[in-house]
Amino acid sequence: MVVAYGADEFPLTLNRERLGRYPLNAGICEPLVRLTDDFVVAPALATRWEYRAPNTYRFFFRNDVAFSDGTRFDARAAAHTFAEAAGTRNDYSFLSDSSVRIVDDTTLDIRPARENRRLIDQLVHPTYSLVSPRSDPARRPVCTGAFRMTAYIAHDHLTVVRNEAFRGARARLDTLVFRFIPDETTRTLALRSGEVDAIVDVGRSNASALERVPGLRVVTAPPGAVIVMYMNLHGANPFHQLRDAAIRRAVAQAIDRRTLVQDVLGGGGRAALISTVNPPRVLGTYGTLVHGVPHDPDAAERTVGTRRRGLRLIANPSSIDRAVVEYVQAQLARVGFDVQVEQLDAAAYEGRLNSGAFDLDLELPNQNDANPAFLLALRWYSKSNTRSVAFTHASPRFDTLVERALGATTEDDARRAAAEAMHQLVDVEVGAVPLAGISRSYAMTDRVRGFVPHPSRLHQDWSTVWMAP
Amino acid sequence: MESGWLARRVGGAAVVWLLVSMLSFSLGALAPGDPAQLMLLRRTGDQPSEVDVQRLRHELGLDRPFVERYARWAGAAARGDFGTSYRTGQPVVGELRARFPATLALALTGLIVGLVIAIPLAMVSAAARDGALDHGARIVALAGVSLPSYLLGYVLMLVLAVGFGLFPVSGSGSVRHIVLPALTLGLGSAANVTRMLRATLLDEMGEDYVRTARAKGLSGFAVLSRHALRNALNPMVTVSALRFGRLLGEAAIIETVFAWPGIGRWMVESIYDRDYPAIQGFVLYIATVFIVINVAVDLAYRALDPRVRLGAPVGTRA
Amino acid sequence: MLIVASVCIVALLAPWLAPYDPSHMEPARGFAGRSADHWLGTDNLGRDLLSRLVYGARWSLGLVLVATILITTAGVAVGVAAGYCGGLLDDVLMRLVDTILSVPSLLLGLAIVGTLGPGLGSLVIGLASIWWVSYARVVRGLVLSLRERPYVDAARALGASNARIVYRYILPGILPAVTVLASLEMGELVLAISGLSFLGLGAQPPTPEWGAMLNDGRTFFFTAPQLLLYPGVIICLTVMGFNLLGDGLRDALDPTDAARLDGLRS
Repeated sequence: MVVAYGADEFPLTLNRERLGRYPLNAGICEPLVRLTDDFVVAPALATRWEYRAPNTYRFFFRNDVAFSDGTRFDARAAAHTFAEAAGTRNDYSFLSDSSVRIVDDTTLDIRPARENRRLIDQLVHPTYSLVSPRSDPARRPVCTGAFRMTAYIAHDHLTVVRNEAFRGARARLDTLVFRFIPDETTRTLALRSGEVDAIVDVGRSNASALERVPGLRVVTAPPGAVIVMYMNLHGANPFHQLRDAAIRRAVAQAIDRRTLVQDVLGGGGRAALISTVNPPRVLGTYGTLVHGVPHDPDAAERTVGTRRRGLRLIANPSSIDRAVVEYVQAQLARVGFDVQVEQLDAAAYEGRLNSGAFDLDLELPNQNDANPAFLLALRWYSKSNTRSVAFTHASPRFDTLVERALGATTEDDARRAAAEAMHQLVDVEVGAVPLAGISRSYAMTDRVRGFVPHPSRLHQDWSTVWMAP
Repeated sequence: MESGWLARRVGGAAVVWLLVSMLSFSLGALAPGDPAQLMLLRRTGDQPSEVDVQRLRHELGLDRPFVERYARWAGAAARGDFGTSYRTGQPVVGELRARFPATLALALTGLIVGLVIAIPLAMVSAAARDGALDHGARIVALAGVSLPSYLLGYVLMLVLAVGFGLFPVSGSGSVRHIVLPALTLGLGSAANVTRMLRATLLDEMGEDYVRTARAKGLSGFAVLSRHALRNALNPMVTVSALRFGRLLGEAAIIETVFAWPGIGRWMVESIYDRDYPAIQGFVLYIATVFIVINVAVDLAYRALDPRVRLGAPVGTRA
Repeated sequence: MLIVASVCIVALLAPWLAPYDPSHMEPARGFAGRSADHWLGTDNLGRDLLSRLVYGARWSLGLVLVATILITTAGVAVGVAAGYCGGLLDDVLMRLVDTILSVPSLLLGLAIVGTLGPGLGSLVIGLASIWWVSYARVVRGLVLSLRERPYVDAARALGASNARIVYRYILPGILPAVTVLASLEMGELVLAISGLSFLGLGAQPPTPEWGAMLNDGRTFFFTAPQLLLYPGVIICLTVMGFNLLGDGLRDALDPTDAARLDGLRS
């Protein structure tokens, strides 16, 4: 079976050392714990884990697991992976070189440099997958997953075959080829010509075209990402206008999100009207605590007054469509904001973001782990270690709520605290505007069976898929 | 005199190579941002500490004067070492070697396709000068060059791959895979080659030997194909070599559309990431190939056409 | 000729010809087909396609025109300096030209645009800073032959200053060929701008530039091909127009100049 993906390396996500794990998770490797499609943590290589005060997680591994080259998986191999991860990851896990301690063959202690009760939620991410210390992760990672890698040509394809030594249910496909086709139109044409059996990341327009083709079908996952409009809350002149909460509220009121979702993004299963900055599922039932600023262009216009204001907007070049940018620009123009849009390449965009040279910033963050406060802690929490937080951090009250979510001992408490922090951010301070929930679509031939879409593309499981003859 | 010409030609090429190496080195060295900081940032995604940055700067020799850094870089580059990519953490030269053959194959095939389209069109055009056929042939040649290449690519995919199933839509690995991207590339260059070839053919037809041949009773077309074309092809070799540089640029777009794992796509991503070792290495690598091709073409030109004995420095004659 | 002239007229008269504001959007009425209200239908955001194309003529031609003026000025200046003065200056300038020529032009342009930041200004500068070299080469070749003409020698013998010779004899002598070249290259510039849009560095929204419109239409290749078709056809016709204009002018040139131009242009 051949699956066409967009890209094997994203700009700004270096390092071939994550080959087959990120940004494409080819099913070669597994983390200690996995993410269910309800964004809940479930056992994988670790059968159970316990929190040991003050600040340590103890993991108990299966003792029947082997890497695909036949060598045994044990605590020593796991320790190796985490030592590597400590040097290359930055997502608030606080892992450091001295975080890992081997207890015995099947038991490992992980102790972050700072208290982190969400560590278990974070470890589901594929970049924490376990790789054999004897393999070169940049060329041919050897892991414990349902598939085993056999070939990789950058920008062309990555081939995996069934790992016969897999501990669980064997993959149903014997060979799976991921082809890298960056252009969406070309991907669509490749599916129609029969060259590939499935394609990933189908846009609104191509999805509706492919649905009408006999022998093909489109599958859409539950929302796994959100279009978020970040605001520069602490910019220096001339990027200081959104320091004023009233102006921020006017910006939020100006945008008719319903029209955005239904007409610009095409509605259907692809886009949803939501008010949270994460997919609501990760908040469980507490998503309703966040209301979103209602559309009220008249109020916005009154706030802006008769003198038009200029704002500068940047948008992540790899994830935000020009149509969304143009729509936001036009909506803001109606209430008196002249928005100058700057089309930037990846590095220029990153530079602007980190130097605070923007008023508004559009991005599409994905929820790829089980931590309900991941985005809050990363982008608005004043102690975050990302550079742009100097311009986006919210109030001390928000910080307190985020800390409560990060320190919560149960998943339910974490979700409630995260929802409260989000309410504070979105409704009270208007520090960001969630514009629309976004779902990934996949298109495939009718011969492809057993495909269960995961809201996070990064956790898509290909081992259950098979091809009907 | 012959060896004097050769020495001047190669000397000129060497000067250009030095200038290109300076240009490509400056692209990175003068760009905003500290490479050491960028590397650390790329590696961890986190703002590195000042101590780490200083240590890496020293390790990389970035605290040395500009001239010394250039000399060291150019020296290493001349030996085939272009440093390590910030983005992938792999040696730049490895990436270049892995990808360049694909782009070269695409560009060469595109060039051949362009010639295959242009030669008959130019001959028809020249034979029927200012007639309906002439205008028809020129419009046909223009049609290919007037469309943005990606649009042309989609149309070819839709018709030849999806419609008739003749070729694969995208990817690489077999001869059939190269047909559509090469066709797209070739159609884009055919018009200019046709124009140039037509003009040369018309010039040749004014020459004495053509008039003699016609007087002997040969038809216009026969004269064109037997005599004029052969002579007109010599300057074509040079122009083709020069167009090669443009083909490479165009290849960046075509490689993206057809998912061709070439050097153009990789370069565009490197530019967007400010992966300076990759950009510097790429520019110098391509320029070196280009300069070598140009010198080789000039040599071939002199070998082919004994009339040429004028010493001309690099690149001034097209 | 006719094509180029009509596109120019459309560009000049855009505000009177366009039935709607090109950036007025009604997302609920997106993808409308041709109708009495919208002659060419509407785009994905419900904007009138005809109005966008009409205003697009302004942006696209304006960009190309400004770039061409910059390119021609720089190319002629360097070409005349090198060809007329000769010697060391010629060597230095031509080595510089060869250097830029040996780097793939689109990618160098991309690097420059990326470094300068966004905007139509940097787009023009990025294109101009690489495009002038082919002009410089052609102009130098023309000047070399003009320099040896008897009337130039005569003027020099009569004591005319270099500046005067260049102004009186050289510039008028190269003007026809430069006009042809500019016309041919303007077509390529239109395509280069659309290429940059494809690579993500075109005109910023909501500028209705043709290359950007075509690029935005890509995702609607199957469902609303008109979003690609109309800008595609317009770009194609304009590029053809520039080329045919150039060809026509070329045929009107002195045959030796024409042959020289063909030979020098790469």
